[in-house]
Amino acid sequence: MSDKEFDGQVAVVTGAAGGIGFAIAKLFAERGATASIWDVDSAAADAAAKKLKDMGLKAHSQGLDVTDEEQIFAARDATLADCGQIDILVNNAGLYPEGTIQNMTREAWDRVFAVNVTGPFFLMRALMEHMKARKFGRMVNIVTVDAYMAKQTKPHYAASKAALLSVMKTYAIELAPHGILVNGVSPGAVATERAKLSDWLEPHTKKTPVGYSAEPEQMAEYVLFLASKRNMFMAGECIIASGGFYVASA
Amino acid sequence: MSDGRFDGQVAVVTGGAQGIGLAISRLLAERGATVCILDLDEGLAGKTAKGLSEVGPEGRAYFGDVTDEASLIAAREKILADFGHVEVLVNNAGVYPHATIRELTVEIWNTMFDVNAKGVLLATRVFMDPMIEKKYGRIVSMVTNDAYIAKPTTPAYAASKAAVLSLIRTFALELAPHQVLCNGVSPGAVATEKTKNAKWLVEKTPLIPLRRPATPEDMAEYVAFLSSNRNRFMTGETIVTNGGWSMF
Repeated sequence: MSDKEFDGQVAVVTGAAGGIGFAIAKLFAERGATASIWDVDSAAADAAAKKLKDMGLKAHSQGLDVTDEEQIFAARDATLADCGQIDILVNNAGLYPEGTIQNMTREAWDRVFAVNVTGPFFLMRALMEHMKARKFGRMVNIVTVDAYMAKQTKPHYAASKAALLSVMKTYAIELAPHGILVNGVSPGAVATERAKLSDWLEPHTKKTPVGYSAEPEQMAEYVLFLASKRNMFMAGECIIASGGFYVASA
Repeated sequence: MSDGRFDGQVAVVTGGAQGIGLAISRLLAERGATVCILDLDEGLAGKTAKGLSEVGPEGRAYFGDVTDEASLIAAREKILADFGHVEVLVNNAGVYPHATIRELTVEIWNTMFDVNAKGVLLATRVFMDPMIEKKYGRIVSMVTNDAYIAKPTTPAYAASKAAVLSLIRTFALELAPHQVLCNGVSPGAVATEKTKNAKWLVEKTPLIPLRRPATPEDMAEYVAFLSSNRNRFMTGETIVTNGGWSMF
């Protein structure tokens, strides 16, 4: 296993201007890949790519709204023109808004599903033909432990991620014969900068058996493993990396 | 440190002399681990261990019967005397005899549960102590796709492995505060020397979305990842690595 096992590969990570997405993009770049940072905030995507380039790493940036299929096509074509190929897609972009059954609006529900489910569905479809032609690809979807559980504070978020699990499995079956492995990672408590400002991280960490929340870099390791050539036989599965939270709650 | 390597670590692999266990032993050795093979067949284990010394720091064979706690304690004490520490345990030893509901004898049922389920309990219990002491450990148990499904040809095997799924979760909760992470790997069809020409494997292969059975080396990668310092937040989980088979 080489320290630069992604040498020569191009990894697209959506929602990668900050948080877990940026940690994933950075780890790909550190291990030899060109990290293509796709984000709805194109200035932030450019800044994130610049940060990696300033470290001597290979990076690329692209602004897009993942809910708009035309913008997905444009981002794909621009990335292929700039980087030549796409080996890996990480569907990390997602919304995580509060809501309850009582106060849910149709707009809030639709918005979460548009970003968390519709986006990944059309992103995978837009990239699969390119990967099929090359007979190689890895797609990793960021899900959540909430996909398997009741979630009174975010019912639309939890349901959208449960739907993403289903979409992931369908793509896995469709694409496995072409050498494209589609899987997922379900994080528990991750201490991103935004999570550290929230009121949920501390109580969630207390309920996490290992006694700590994950650093974004720790979560990135699972994504990179599934995206690597060390993963040759796993398809349609989702790794739950929650520090034992899920096992303790089940 | 998260280089995914095992330099300076000691890994114990039960049933590590052949098949999937051998591929696991070999990969851990290649990535820097001192590998201790625990096996009933000391002769075969010794031969395998010698080969490991050529690809890694050192391989050594120990007699160990996973159904006999005293033999496991004796092996642990020898390993600790030889190397001083243990960071990784792979519960790989298992038996897989065919016997339908009607054919099953109580003896077969008991043997299956003794080796496959009680063996995991005992080996994990015996080797967790040096890990607790070091506040670091990784334990990976081999399960199977069959643990999740109806299995008319080998009901006792499937049930014994379902018990392992449960044990993985319990050990995970017990050991999480000590930074000892416990997980499992559930293979589907794997083409080992023993199985590669088996009727069931040949029949199953076209049903696998990846259109091939796994190699033992494919499986070893999952065990190595979960055993490594790159895994710092996953515990109590079992990853299903069956080429997409279970989705139908």
